[in-house]
Amino acid sequence: MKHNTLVNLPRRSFLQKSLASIAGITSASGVGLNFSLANAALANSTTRFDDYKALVCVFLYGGNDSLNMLVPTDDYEYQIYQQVRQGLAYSQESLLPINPNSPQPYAVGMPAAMSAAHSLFQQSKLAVVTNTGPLMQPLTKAQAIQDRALLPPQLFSHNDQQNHWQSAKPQNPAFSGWAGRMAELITDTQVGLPVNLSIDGINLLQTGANSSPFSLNSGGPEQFAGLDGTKDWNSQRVAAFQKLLNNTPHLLEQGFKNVLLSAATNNALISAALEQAVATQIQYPANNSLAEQLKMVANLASVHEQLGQQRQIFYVGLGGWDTHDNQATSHPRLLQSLSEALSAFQANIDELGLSEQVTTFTMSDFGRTLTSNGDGTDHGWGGHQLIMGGAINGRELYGTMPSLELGSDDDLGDGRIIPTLSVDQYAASLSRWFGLSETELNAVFPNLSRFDMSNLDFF
Amino acid sequence: MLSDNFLGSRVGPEKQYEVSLYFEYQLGGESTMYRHTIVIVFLMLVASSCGGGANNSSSEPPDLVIEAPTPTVDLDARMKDAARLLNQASFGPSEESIEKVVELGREQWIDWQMELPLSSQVDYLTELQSTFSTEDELSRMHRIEAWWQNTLRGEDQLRQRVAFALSEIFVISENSNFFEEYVGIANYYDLLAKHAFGNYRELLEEVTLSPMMGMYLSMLGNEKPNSERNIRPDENYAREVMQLFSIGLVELNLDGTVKVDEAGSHISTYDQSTIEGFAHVFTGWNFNGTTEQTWWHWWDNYDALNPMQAVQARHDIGTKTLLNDVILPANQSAELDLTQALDNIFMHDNVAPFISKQLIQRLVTSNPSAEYVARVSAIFNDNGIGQRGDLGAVVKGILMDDEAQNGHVKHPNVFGKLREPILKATHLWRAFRAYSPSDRFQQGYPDYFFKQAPLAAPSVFNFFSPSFSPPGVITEQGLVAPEFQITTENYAIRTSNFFAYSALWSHLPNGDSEQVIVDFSEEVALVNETDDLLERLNILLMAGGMTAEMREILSEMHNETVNAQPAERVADLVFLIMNSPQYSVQK
Repeated sequence: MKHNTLVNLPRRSFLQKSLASIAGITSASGVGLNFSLANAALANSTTRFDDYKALVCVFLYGGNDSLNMLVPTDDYEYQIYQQVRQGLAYSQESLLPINPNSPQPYAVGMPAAMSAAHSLFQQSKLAVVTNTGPLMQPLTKAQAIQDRALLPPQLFSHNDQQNHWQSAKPQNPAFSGWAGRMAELITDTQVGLPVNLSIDGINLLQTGANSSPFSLNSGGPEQFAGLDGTKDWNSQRVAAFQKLLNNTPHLLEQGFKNVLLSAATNNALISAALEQAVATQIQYPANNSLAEQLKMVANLASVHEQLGQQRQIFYVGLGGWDTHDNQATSHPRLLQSLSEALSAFQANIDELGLSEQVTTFTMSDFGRTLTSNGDGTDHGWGGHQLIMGGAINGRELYGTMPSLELGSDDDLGDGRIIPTLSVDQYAASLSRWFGLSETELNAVFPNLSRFDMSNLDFF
Repeated sequence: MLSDNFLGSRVGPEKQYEVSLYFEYQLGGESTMYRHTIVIVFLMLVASSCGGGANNSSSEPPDLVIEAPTPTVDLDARMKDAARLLNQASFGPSEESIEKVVELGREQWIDWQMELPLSSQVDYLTELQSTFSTEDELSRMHRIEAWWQNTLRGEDQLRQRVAFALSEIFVISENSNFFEEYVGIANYYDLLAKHAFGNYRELLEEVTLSPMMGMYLSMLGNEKPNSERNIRPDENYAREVMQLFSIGLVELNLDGTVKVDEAGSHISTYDQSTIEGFAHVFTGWNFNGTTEQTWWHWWDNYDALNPMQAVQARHDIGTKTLLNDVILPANQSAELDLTQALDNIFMHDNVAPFISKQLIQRLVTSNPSAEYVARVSAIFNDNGIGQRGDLGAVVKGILMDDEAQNGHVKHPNVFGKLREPILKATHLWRAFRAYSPSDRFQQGYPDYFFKQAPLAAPSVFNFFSPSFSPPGVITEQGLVAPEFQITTENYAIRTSNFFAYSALWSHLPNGDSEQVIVDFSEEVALVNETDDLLERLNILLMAGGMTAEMREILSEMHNETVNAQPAERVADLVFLIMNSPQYSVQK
């Protein structure tokens, strides 16, 4: 392996020091780690598994109008849809019908912009989990109107609902996410490269009580230019910098130091591993930031062995979904970007022979109002999510399709749809596949026991 | 440690350090002026007869009697105080600005700054455009260049710094459908700068009516309900103006802490029906000059500079229920509804703590004490002459507060904030007199290095949340550290690399007319005086906060590199300091 950054210390010295420091480590940040230990070829240990699995979260920032991803195709239901959605309705002729394995209350199709996702669905590589959202407990419209305390806190607010999706802990200010807690449960130590890898920056989902995701860009990990200890002319500077890092009493200084240490130790590991990634033959769509991120995910999944990771959780994101205006133009474009990125990624994963081992899923702040404000929609509640991969039972709609009629029992008002599946159920089904026991599921999702999990298995 | 000596010492300094900081200052009416390599004097481990031992200041209370203090004794402390203020109130201390603060004193410097005219981004772009040939077009790079120009060279540092803070609260972003509206975005920034010391209520109205905000949060073109078309008003601006620009989601005490009800639960400031009330208020507004007939012809009316204008026919004239159950009567004009609705927000008890605390966080410290927030909030509510919302008074209150001046002494391990990465760059370039052969700062993509660029946040929720707390000890201690939200491994490295490119490798001209060059000549002059050089860097970069241990580490390395070029040796020190956790936390 090529050593890419910082000082080239003999491995023995590293192991001795790191073992000595493990006892004192209280967080993934690795207090006590040496900045110049570039060859920290250690990932968080996950010895309980002998297979490989990865979860990929695609977060759609702003609140996807996902109710417009599944549109009625039969005349009667289409009329209801058209009446409610007005200028934001897709034309009946343009829809791409889907044929789920299970019977549905009404036939639906996808917008033409989703043709790539539509093929995945028909090939059983994709499924839709319908009308899902943040809930405190199963909720009827009558209950929702009668007792506001039963609603999730700060319903309809972007960041609070994002946090609910990502933390599955709505009651208290959430400091950790369900993927972060899950990772801490399944790993034996918090030293080295985390299970949680983000291509879209810091996020609550992957934050644990004592761990942050390791974050890199779609272009891969960065290298220190002025603190590269493998270059002779840097060595005095790097040595002095190491001494500075050992002298940080201030709490925020420690926090900053931890980021630098994580960068120094993990980047070398990832860079070395990525050198062994095989270039894909799959053509990813151009000018598609989500596709770029997912391509890096596929690369990182392909070298999980070199990284020493039996489990990986990835986070990617795409913004622009807060379509208060200009929705008729912008939303189909977003759906197309999403669909094409997912399609290329799945092809890449298939190419790597990891179809059964990598499961991709979407999350988004909320669904949007069925009613329009003239040229857009406002913050709603329940919505649909996509799940993808060889392990899932694809070509299926999970959950219950809501009524699209205004004033129905599903409608809290203005077409804000009350979810019939909770975030907890959705995420727990994914986590169970990932390898959590029932006990562990209840530890990660404190509200899970309020919901029925018996009939919810996407796999 | 040095500051421990000042009050306790009556004896003269034992050792003098010559440091080439130019300044002039006044003390006790006696004007002294140095205009050469002046003498900065401070005490080193004075074994003084009056109990002011440097390392033992707690053994005896310091003697507070200062008899005709030697100007030079006081000067070192005053420079460090000045640098601390300039970390909080400017885009980074420079020799010249430290000199000015020392000359005027903290309060008078603030007063002087507040009187200075605005350095306008729009004016800069207009000027720049006048030099363009016909095929040249304004670009994003030019807008960012205008920001560098004003933050690096503008005399109105405090105004620009507060504008930058406001741009992270009243967020619009080029990440939207108006990416190419460079002048409009610059004009919005100017608007924030113009009102930085004005009244919050006026600022709120100007922000609300800005066509840029109108486009960003879709109030522009927002129509009254229409049952035939089955539409209702857009709730975007109504929601965010309350959640992010004024009162937040839950009721606050004056000191910024969250109120709880009998059951111990937080109390929501509004619900969905309140949002709908405001959404109805904010109907009927469109580009300046729009009429009922031209309502849909945005391409005819497009105007990214002048305030939006109401078209009464598109305004909902029903009653509207606002905060605290205030009801606006039916049949009011769009303008009157707007005035009363903004008054309704402005009078909410949350505004003072909500805005004051965020401004403190942006300028001074991530975790202000409740008392500090309460003191500033009180100024927000009454500036001393009965006026509410005086932002100038609020800013002055923040910077004059004892916690801003002495928090680093009283809470040495928690006071302060992680420096915003882009403000590290302005600091480097101000402290070391950056210049370019083109006389322009053509660094058009700071977001590559810092995940930040002016008015370029990913969403209205800014680059980071004021309540963000990284996991581990910071969270466990109940602290927040917002800037950590963009401090990923990736960007920590890129920020470090910015200092490699600029400090290590751009202190000599390379022939590129667009190169931004840092000038270490003043520091090079001290290269063989390690202590003096480090003290100069200590003041310029760390407001005197360099610990003895840190100084020792740097000194050792500096002495090991005697064979290298002097400028390289200086660059190494600057690079190390500005990459260090110790510097990265502004204290």
